[in-house]
Amino acid sequence: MGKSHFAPTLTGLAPYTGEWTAAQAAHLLRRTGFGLVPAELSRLTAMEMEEAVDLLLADQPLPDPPINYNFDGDPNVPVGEPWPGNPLIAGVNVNQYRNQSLRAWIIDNIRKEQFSVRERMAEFWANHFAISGGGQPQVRYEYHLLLEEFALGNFRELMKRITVEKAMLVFLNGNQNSANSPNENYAREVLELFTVGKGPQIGEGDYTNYTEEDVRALARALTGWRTRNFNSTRDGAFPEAYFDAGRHDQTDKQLSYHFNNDVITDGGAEEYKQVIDRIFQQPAVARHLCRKLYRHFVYYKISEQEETEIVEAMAQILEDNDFEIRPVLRALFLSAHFYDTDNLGPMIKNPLQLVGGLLRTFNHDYQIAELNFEQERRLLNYYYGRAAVMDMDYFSPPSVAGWEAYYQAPAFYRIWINSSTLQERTRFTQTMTSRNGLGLGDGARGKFDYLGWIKQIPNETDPNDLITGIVERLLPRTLTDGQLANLKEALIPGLPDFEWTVEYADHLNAPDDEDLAASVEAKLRDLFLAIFSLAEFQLV
Amino acid sequence: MNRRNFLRTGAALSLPLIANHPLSAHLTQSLRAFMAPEDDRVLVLVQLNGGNDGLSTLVPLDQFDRLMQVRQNLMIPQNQLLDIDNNLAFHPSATGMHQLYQDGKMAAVQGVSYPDQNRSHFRSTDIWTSASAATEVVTSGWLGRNYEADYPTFPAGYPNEEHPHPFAIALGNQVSQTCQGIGANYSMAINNPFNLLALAGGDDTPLPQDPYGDELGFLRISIAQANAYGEAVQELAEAGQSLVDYPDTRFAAQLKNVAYMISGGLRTNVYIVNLGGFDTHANQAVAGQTTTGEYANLMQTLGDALAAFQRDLEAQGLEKRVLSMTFSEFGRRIRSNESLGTDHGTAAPLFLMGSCVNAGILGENAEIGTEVAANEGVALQYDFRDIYGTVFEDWFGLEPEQVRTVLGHDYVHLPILQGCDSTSAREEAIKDLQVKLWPNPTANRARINFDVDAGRTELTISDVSGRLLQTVFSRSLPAGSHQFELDLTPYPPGVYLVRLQAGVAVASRRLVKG
Repeated sequence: MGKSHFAPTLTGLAPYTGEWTAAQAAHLLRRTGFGLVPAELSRLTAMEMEEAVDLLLADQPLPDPPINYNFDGDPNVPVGEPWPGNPLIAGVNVNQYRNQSLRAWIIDNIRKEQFSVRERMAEFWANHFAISGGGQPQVRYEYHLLLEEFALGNFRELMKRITVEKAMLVFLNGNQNSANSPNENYAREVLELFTVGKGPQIGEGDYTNYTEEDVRALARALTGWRTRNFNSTRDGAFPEAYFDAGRHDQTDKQLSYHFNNDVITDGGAEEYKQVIDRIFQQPAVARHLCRKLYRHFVYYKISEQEETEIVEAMAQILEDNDFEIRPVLRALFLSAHFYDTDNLGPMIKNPLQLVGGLLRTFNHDYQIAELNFEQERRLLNYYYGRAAVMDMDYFSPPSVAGWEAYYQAPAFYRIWINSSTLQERTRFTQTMTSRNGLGLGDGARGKFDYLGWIKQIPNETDPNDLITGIVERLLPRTLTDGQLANLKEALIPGLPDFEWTVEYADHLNAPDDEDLAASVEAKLRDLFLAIFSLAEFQLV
Repeated sequence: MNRRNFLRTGAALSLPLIANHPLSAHLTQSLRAFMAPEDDRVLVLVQLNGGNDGLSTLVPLDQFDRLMQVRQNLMIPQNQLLDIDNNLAFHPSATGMHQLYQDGKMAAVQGVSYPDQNRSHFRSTDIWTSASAATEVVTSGWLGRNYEADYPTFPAGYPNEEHPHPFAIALGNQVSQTCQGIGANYSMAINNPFNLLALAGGDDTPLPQDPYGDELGFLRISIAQANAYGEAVQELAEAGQSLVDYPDTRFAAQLKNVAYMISGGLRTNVYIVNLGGFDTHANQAVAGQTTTGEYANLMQTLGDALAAFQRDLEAQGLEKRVLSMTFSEFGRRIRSNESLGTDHGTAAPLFLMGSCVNAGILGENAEIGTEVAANEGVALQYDFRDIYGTVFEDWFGLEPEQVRTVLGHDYVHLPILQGCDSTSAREEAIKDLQVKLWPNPTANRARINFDVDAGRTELTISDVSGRLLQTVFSRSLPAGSHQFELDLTPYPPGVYLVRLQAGVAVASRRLVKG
């Protein structure tokens, strides 16, 4: 499929000029979204590449706020209504239902997303600006809503907003940072992780891109920010950040030679913007971020050539566009490098890609209308919980550096995989291919509609076309003839091909015959479990 | 009680010496001969995530008044601390650790860290797990390199008849960086050894020679190994037993599972358990009720579980096969902050537990000055790599040359383990270096005078945050008294840490430049 068009050597971010087929469109969809919906693939394949990429990068309305699924003790928020903006209640634990709702919200945003890179970018920022906890649900919601809002926005502006965002002020002790007692925690991470990044130590307290002196100067520039009303139940007392001029260090802050020995003079409540603007003049900022974008969308190994030709080109675009993220992604997703054979399929799915991918591919829409709110919550929380036991608890990354799979050399993505997480990955796909599916309470079962789903596969009445059609949509590359034969063995063990055609046709002719439908579906569940069990299924 | 002490300050100076043992030779003698066969030995690494505030774990009572001046909001009334010897006392919630110490089952090494302290969690954890110097980046782990030397083809061909069990097991969902080889990781992550699932492996088709083929090959081997090892682990965990009650904590459950696996006959020789929450920037103690708070909870959780684990091993007659050792990426600062917490610091005590430890305290109590700088940490005395090297040599029976190869550098053999089978206490003492440092404070130059036995000696100057400023010398000296000049001219006024190491003898002193 057009493989011969791939250029053998890198040429920076030169556009992809090969054939635009389902293979390229599927790669684009799987890397920019969670899983792949067959209808999306058809539509994207039929477009021009540029049109397809622009569609994925288009502005989207912000997700609907999370709702109260199940708690009848909140006087301001009936079940089914959104809770953000409503106060805490003295003597009533509203945090529990809101926390559950928040976990469901993240999953529901993925479930509802169509033709967009936004949720994967929100995930990128949740890793880049990783905070764990962050206070009560309203505070955490506002933090993650900010990441959604800026998913494709301006990195520098996001950095400013994050700096004075209450969840971050608490998480990295910025709210305790005062002229008399500076707390360097946040300032250190701004330089080490969020902007220029920590380079090799080249001198005493000198990390190539900044020094300990810069950490101290930045900490002092950010003094004075406080938070209040986190747990207040007083009327109108909502959690907020504020600036207390009395705690702000008004003296000059001397930066190191890395920053041209610049001096930050007193800017009061606006000083944080000045100092971030100054940091963003450093070339290291764009390079650091683009390296992380590359690891998020392409592959973890970055050769010297990829560093100088691809990452550097991305960084140049980021700088040329005043730190707007969209132009960088546009160039990457249109580039020959992105579609190079080497980059087709070697990414180990992170847990959210795994569970969110199956959720979106086999959407529960057909069920959700029949579920009550509590059942719907259980369904969504199940997905969140599965990703958590696979070591990706979305709201609790292991540290401020984010998930190890995105920074820990040499293993990177492979850190997701070990005997324990492999078992959890398997348990999840076993549940989703079991006869009874997932218990949701009151007899409701969460299941995928495999029978309905395969109707999207062209010529699904032929078992060979059915299997290759599924494989093309669910796996990054094609399988060997032997593997395809094994899959057919799972579908129709020891039977000739026409038996599938005949039995499936019988079901299509008598769709109301539940027994027949159940038998055909049982065979499909065996087939899908065999596909989900392939090592190849862990790749994207 | 046959506990041995290695403290050299105050009254400990009168520790009896056995005259017919030349000290340095005696102390560097390997103890392998006294112990059970290496194959049977197990090391349990207890990772304390976040950086442990050692000054709260083990309080130097001789520095109590000065600590009150700089961390009053955290200090626990002296009469509530759990006294041991050497002017030290445990946190009142560390009853389990106190008991282990009193029973002669614990060795504590004071001031453990490395030269040129790095205060980033990630970087310092990498240094501890890789055993690299602070100035080099090593991506393999200290235990992983040892496995790699013995089993270089792993994971291909494992498990096999000779090695049917995982080399190392990390309790939880993540393999341990300590066991990372150049390519493969030698540890297996096991959350619950009683509930392991057989996985479908997929097919064994040829792998393309590209990144996709690399990752696919990795996945297939991981799946096959999870199955093969998983079956053995579950079978033997089920054959194992536990004879005591453990506390109801996630941490204790990890140690209980380790006890089951050892008792069931698993031939795994390294287990890694972990307890998080030590990054106590805030609310380490409750205001006005300093015996309570997050740190008290940590000490209770840690000590109770370790004590139960030791009782379990003793009840099953396994205690001579198991050595446990704590580690944490750094200690915390001497001054507390305004949030009832402490920020990232330098050195802290490291604890070794079991029936084969040379119980007691190694190292001096931290020296707290009258003027403590904001970013001052507890001074380095012992390099953690010396402890790793000693564990390799005494516990796992490596020849010193092999130890140096695996560690990637030289090490000093420390007297922290002893033969379990030796019935009489071996009296040992460490050379007192008789350090004199004057004038202190000084304008620019100071003199240091000390006594050493013949051997390698190193003298360094660091700043209070642990950054190495100067290695004055590092070479062999003849036995006797020596005097050197220290030059602080290049540095601004402030406090500096002068560290002298001669074999196992270490002294760390504060030197003030006025």
